[in-house]
Amino acid sequence: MNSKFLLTSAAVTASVLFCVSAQAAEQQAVVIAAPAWTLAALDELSTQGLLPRTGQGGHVAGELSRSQAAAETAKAAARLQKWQLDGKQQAAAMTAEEQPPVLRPRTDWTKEEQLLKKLEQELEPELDALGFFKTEQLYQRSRAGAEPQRPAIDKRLKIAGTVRYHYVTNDGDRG
Amino acid sequence: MNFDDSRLRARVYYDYNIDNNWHAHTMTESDRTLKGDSDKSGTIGFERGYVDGDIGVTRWTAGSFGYLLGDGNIYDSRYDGVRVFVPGPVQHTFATGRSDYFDNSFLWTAHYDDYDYSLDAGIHRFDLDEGGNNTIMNFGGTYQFENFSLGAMYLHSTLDGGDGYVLTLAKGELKPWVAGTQRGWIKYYDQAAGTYIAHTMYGLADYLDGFKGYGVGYSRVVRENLVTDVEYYDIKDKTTDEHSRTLWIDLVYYFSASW
Repeated sequence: MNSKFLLTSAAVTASVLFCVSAQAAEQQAVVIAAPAWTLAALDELSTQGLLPRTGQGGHVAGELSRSQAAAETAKAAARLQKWQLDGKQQAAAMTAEEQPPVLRPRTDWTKEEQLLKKLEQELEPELDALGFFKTEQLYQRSRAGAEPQRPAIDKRLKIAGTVRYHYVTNDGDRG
Repeated sequence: MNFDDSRLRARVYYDYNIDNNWHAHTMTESDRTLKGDSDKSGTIGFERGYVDGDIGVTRWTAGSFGYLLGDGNIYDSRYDGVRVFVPGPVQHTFATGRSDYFDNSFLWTAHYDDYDYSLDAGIHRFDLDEGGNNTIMNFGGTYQFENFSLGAMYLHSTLDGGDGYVLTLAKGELKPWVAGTQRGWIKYYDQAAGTYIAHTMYGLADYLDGFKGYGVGYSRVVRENLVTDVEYYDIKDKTTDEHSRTLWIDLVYYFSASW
């Protein structure tokens, strides 16, 4: 690796870190309420049974911060995935209140699947901080020799990795 | 010429959380030839070193990191530079930097996701080691239906005025943390030499002067965090018409820990 380049990158990075640290701290102190449609979407997911109800008539009472909304979205996504994986067998073991919505092929996504997708897009930074995307992106980007995604925000150090055995045979001219 | 290779590779990624925004990353790798025509010794080396964090709504990455361009049909390797990701309904990524393949580069990509389709576009200028430059443009999209996805990408290079396209049909979604999930795919490639810098495929595209042909692959999660993959490529050099066939088999184990 070019040492001059690394030194230059380190100097630039240190300068950027210094300049933005105060700004970042200021931003973190501000609670950003989730948009109205996010709250409506979470309410809708509660109605569909993807989120446990915490109050009469719906899940959300009042405002949520974006990070709280992201945490609720992650719960709903995990619940939906579990239903999709376990299918009817799992559904049969659930109480009537826990029964999943009927899940259809992706061309005919259910409303809750569409809502989840939209919530994931809207809340991507917060979900990312929760580690929501990390395992999937680790795999998707591993062929680039790329890096795993950020750990949960309260973790100071994370180690992740792969051990790979491969066999390859070529019949052709390598030039 | 035949080329056979059997190797064991371990990669460990370290992610240090500096201040709940900025993170420092490194990666160490050991790659050892078990049998075959390569001569990897297994020596442990540092392969990545970078920081990333948010400034306002943008995500910055600076240092030496992995970069995938055009779904790997243009570039898939290490990149030394600075990258800025701008979120939004249309996500933009800008980057400048160098690598073992070029002296300097300026990259722009745009990505749009909808419920059942996504669109990608990019313009990438590379200042080449041997002099001159190559600007590669790409445009494409992917449509999701049932458990399938159908993708098409068009590429154009100013180096030789060459064009290219890649068609993809895939089924399934691989989730390494869920046993039994699987994914199969087939691709057809027709790419002029100038439309790629370091191709992602396990076939021999990087050794050919432009190529066309197909690749097919299947992956399955044998058990949680253990994935097996089989890929086969049959491609032909666009200049010499020589055939190249590649069979790739791997088994990958994923692990992680945090404190």
